[in-house]
Amino acid sequence: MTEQHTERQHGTTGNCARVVMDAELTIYQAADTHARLLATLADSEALEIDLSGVEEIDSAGVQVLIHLKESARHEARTLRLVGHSRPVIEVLELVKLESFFGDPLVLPASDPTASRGDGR
Amino acid sequence: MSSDPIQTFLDECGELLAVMEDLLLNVESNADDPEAINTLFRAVHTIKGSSGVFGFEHVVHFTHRVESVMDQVRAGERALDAELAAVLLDCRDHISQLVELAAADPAAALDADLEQHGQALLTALDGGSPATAANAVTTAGVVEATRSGGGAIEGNNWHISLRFHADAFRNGIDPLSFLRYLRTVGEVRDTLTVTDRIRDAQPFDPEDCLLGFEISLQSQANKGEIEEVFAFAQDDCEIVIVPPQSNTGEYLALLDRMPEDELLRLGEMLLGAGALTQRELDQALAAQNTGDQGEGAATRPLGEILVEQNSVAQPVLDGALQKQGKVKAKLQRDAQLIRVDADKLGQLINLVGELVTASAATELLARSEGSLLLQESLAGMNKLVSEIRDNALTLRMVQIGETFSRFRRVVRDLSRELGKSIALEIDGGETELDKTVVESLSDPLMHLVRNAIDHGIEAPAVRAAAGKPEQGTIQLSAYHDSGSIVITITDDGGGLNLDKLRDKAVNRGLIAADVQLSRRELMQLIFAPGLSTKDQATDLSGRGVGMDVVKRNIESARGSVEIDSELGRGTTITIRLPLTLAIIDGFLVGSGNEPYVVPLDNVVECVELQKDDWEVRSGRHYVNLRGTVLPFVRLRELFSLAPHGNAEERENLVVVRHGRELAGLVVDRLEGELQTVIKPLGEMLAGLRVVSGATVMGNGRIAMILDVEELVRAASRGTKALAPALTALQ
Amino acid sequence: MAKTLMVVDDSASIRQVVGLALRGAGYEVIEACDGKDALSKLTGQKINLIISDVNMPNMDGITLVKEVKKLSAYKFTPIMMLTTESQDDKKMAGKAAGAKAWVVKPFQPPQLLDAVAKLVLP
Repeated sequence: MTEQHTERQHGTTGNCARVVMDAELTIYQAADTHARLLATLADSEALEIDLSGVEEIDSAGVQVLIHLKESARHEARTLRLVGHSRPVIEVLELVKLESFFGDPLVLPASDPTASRGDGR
Repeated sequence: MSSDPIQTFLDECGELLAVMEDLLLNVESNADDPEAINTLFRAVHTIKGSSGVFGFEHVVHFTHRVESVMDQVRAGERALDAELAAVLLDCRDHISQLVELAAADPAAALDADLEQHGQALLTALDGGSPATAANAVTTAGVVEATRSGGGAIEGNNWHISLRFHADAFRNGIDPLSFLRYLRTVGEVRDTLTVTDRIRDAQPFDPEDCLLGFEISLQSQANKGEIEEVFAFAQDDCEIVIVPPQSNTGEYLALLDRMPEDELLRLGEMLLGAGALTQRELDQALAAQNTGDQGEGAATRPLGEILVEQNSVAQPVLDGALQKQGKVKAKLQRDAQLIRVDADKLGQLINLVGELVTASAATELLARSEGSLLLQESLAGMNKLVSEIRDNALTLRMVQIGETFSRFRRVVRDLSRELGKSIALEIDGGETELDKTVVESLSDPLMHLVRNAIDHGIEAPAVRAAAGKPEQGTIQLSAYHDSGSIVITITDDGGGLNLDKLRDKAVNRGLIAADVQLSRRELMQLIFAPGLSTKDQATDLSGRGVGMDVVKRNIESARGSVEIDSELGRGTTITIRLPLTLAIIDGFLVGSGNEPYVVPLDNVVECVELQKDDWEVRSGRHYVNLRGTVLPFVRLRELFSLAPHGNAEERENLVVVRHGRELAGLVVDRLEGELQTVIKPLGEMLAGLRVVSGATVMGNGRIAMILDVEELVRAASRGTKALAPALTALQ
Repeated sequence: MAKTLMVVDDSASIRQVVGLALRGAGYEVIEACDGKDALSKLTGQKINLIISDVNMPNMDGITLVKEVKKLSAYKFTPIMMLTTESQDDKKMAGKAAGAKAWVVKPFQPPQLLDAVAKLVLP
């Protein structure tokens, strides 16, 4: 259910991992997702999390992202959130954490979740 | 304590900061003293709490971080060493600066230097580690983002502080959904997500909820409604809701208006005023019961706990305690009172009246018997009887304050309905008068106050245009004046337009077009039936009906009413009523064969009248009283009486006073003082304006009680005969 | 993504009213007529909120709450109870079992939607 695609890119500045998140980032996946992302982060100098496929995110999901960000800072690694889907943007706006993560929030016009996220 | 809450806040902060400084400077001796550390924590905590009340967001944000550190110290997780103390001292200075800036201008943004200085301090406070430094930036970043996002930081916001318990997620609670729902009760101005616990968790369990939020909300909802949003989270979250500072005044007003007939507990009062919710009260009571009190320590006052848990602001608590004290004092007074049926009192006063009459009869008898001993004994008894009379009458005396206070609500409700802003001032509420007089007063008073609200005070825009304060003032006052109670209703409204009034009176045929009226006479036209000065009648006070009714009601209670008004400045209505309706001290005079009683309070002096002093001019009589021209009326002429015995008999002048006016009464004989019970006139004589009642004298004869007000008027108009039509219109 | 809610009540009319209100607000609704029926319908699909009556045949609401808390796929799912005024003891029991929210019957649809909005993000 929560299969993550991890791609490793080895560059001149060190290794950079990229994880594409699944549709659900909630309390039910929090423990697994956190453990996996933390492990990936430990192996990488930079971790990029692609949130474009996230259709549902709750407080526990946000909390996982906060903890990863704090951990990255503590260990002087880089954590980037990219491709925020509309549900993710809405939630980050709700808790005003956009600048905490410091990533540019760009919602591509062709975002496949945009209409669905709004469509309830 | 200063009446300006901001000044109070500044004073309070000053004290707390001084305490902080003192403790931090002596850190060597205080570092291990839990009480000192607790005091330090509380100082920061209190400053944060009060700043929240005033909406000083910068202070809240900064002190929140300092408080967290102090909390760690308090919990023994961090040592208060010299290094930390030095940083805390700098933080203290920074708070002091922030407080001053905020008090001067709550909406002002921090300048870059100060902001940066704050950041540096917070970084140092966290031990300067990269992670915590980053977090400090985070906090500032969030605030910055909010501000640049256009959310004005205002003092008029609710502050909501949420700390979710670790089990919240497991219990199916999603904090985000509450945050989202909160948007339906108001506008969220600022949200600070508190991430400290997530950062510090060792180890971090993703299924533990470690989220906290500081939210600034602008909303018209009340405290209960806002708390209702979090009802489902109650068991899984620490909730503190701090009302906007502007609510403090409202809470205080509500507390002030609470009835004073029942002693409420502090919590009940605050609940009633909406300053406290049931949950907050329960929480405080629980803290009080299980409180971490040392052995033998007294239970902590509830108010202290409520303030500490940020449920109630100190000024509101003070207001409630003050009100409680007031009610307590009143109930203590009430406990010494006995309730007596007013009818029973009336009966007693009637009997005392009969006693007065009977004792007068006995005295008369004793005089005619010539027994000196009996007369002496009776004199003693009469003294007692008059004391009993005075006492009996005071039994029925009540303060007018309660009657006045009832109008607070009338003024508030009606002014709101009419879109006006009106303050009611009450003066002389402790003035006492007979209960029966109060009853006869309450309808006319209601009418006059409604008139003042409806026709007197102008709409705010009109007032502003006229250069007056938008809020109008109605003043009710009462005082005693020579045996009468004087009640005035004053408004600072538009006043009477005398030209308009005159036109209407002419139109209605109340006065002839060419008649010359003085200002005073013109104003009294308002009491004529069917005259209204407002072009548009409202349903509040109708079409000017009532001013004539008001006058009639007051006159039937042997009172008088006058109006004084200045266009654009306001109106004063003066009601004058006798203190009691039952018994008066009278002065007995005789004219022809008839006895008459003049209320003693109205008698100024009695002089012998010299024939040379008379002057008759165009039907009016004047007498030269020590150089002053005094109008007079001769009772014998007024009542068309036959001369008594010898027509050459010397006449006497009784100088009487009504309000400011003096007049003379020419009588044949002066008979002396007596106490007399007033009996109402029969219907036949009710139309006689110059007579207000009758009394049965000791010898069984009936004496008329003269109405001094009408007599004064009659004298100045030279009325000779019993013309009953001396209305205000003449 | 529309949120899915489960409504458990032995009264068909209440299920209908509640279902109508919720579907009208854009939620997807699964209906069950008692606790047992509800458990049999919890087959791994995503459910964002369970709204359950207390008194029901076969399995009552309190037992349902306890059973749901045992299912790993649903243990975090919020549960809202529909109670009547006089069921304060039931409320306490439900609370102890893990139900977090209450709506007191009789209720109007807007009240119910308000309560749901406090528990489920749109």
